Amino acid sequence: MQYHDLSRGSPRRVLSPHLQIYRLPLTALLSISHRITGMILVLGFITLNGLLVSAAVAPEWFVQFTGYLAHPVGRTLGIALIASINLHLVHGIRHVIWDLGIGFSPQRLQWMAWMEIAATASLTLAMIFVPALRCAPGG
Amino acid sequence: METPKRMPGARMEWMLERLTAVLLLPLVLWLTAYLPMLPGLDHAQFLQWLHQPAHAAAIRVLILMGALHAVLGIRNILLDYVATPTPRGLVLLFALIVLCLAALAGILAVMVLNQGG
Repeated sequence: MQYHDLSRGSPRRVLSPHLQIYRLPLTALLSISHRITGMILVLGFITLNGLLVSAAVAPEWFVQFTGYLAHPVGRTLGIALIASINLHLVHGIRHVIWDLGIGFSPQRLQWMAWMEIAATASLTLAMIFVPALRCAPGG
Repeated sequence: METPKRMPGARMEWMLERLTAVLLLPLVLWLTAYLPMLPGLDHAQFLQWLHQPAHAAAIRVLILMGALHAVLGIRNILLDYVATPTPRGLVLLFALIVLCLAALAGILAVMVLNQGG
């Protein structure tokens, strides 16, 4: 079997199946989710700056932009963005806790993973429904 | 055996990533709490919201820290998945340009909006 030098571009080599057959533990799923939500947040960051630019350049652009955000598809993407922000934020706090050397035992890892999911869900629901209650007629 | 020092900037990068994260934590919570409400505002209401000094300052700091945190995060992703230095550097440069332009545009927009009222 020929082995290629890895420094000269992509080699052709035989790989055993791994991600296709292995069920990732919860901590691993949250880890890759932290990375994926980070990339989603980059798009959210660019969108936020686009919203500010649209407001500064022309009010009608801003109205059009917010019109897209208020559309059901826009609202769904907005909820997904809020959930991504919360997941990335909560997992980031967990990283800082790990940096202090806390929480590496298997039981604690599992417990913290479930706490993370609960915190993300709670924050997301609170952020979606509390403003809605504030904007209710008469409120 | 002495550990070879191949990444002299690694400690600074690690610190910056944590520092920006800690600074972003309250700002992101604050902005995310307002996010569901923002699309429902008209232009005048949005300006009124942004003209509050705390909001204007918070948005500016959030944009700056967010751009830096994003660049550091993208660099970490590229270091993990792109083995060859040249494509990795080019993608990182592209991301850096896009994020810097977005941040600059956002901050200039906030400055223009705050001068208008």
